[in-house]
Amino acid sequence: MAVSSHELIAGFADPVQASQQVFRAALKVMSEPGTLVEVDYVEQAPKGLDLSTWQLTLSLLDPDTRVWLSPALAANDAVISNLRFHCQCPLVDKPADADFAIALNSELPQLAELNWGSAEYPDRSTTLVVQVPALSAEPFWTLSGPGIENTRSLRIAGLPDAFRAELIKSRQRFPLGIDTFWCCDNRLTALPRTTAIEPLNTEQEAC
Amino acid sequence: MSVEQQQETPETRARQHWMGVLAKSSVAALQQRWQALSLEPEYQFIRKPETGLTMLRGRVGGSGQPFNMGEMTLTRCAVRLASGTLGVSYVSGRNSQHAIIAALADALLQETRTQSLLQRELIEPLQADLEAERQQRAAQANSTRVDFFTLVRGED
Repeated sequence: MAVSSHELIAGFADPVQASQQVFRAALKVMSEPGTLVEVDYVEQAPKGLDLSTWQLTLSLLDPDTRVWLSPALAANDAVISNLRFHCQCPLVDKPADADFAIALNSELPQLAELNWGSAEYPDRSTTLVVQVPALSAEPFWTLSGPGIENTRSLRIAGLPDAFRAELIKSRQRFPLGIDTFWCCDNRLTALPRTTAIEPLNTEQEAC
Repeated sequence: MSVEQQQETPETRARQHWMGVLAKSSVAALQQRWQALSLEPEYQFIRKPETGLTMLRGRVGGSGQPFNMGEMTLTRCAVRLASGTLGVSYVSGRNSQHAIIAALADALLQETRTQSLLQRELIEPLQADLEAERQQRAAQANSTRVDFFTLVRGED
């Protein structure tokens, strides 16, 4: 698929500084899971991507990272053209082949479809980047684990129940697992595989 | 995923030609002619000039295996004019001004309003310069040419 030149938009105004700043933000949310960080180094994102998702891709993706896109994004010419032009990342058809999977909350892949890494190299797993309609620190999920002193609250809106259950259950396979980034507008947070997730109560989790 | 073969049309051939001339011309000559035009279009960077390395591949003769010959420095740039036209440039060396002017000229050459002016005032003279330089080099080399020939021996 060729790049459509009319869809291309500007990337970072100062690529060296901005990509490092966004990388720093990504590092912060991964090492302190559940914290919300705002990133504001671009003015616009391709249609279909949020600002934080776009900045994360500009910072993390390059010709050596294989990327899987969820169907709506994979069919979006603006997203594909800009990823190819700015990141030059190869796009793959199967989520299991990808280093990064980028998905909308409405069309999440099954966690089992992703690459979980191997016992020798658990770090070779797929990192999942999900774009969600809302992120907040309201009590909904109680997080604990490395990088969290006591507990931290996080609410991620728009996730299907089955996916939530799958994510919580995936902690049992540690050290294998899927690290996740969550993007909404210009906000970013992450849930690495080490973070234990406790729903506020089972009743709420069901609804 | 493989790269699809682009359809070669007269437009792409013309664009390849002017992009080649812009990339190969000397920076001083290009800058001088560009400033003389004083076009100063409004534009936005899609990709700021960035310098990197590219691998050059070569092959010996027409039938040799391709091999990696070495790397060269390359500067690339992409701009979008206020009208929405995208201009792209890939030039050798590390001169970002060269890359910016080449990208702007590429964008303006795609617009019908400025195409003939730029062809006349920029591309044609630059190409003439390149041609003259090539001729001169060829003439220099030609003066020391040695023609080898083998006499046919009566063996057959």
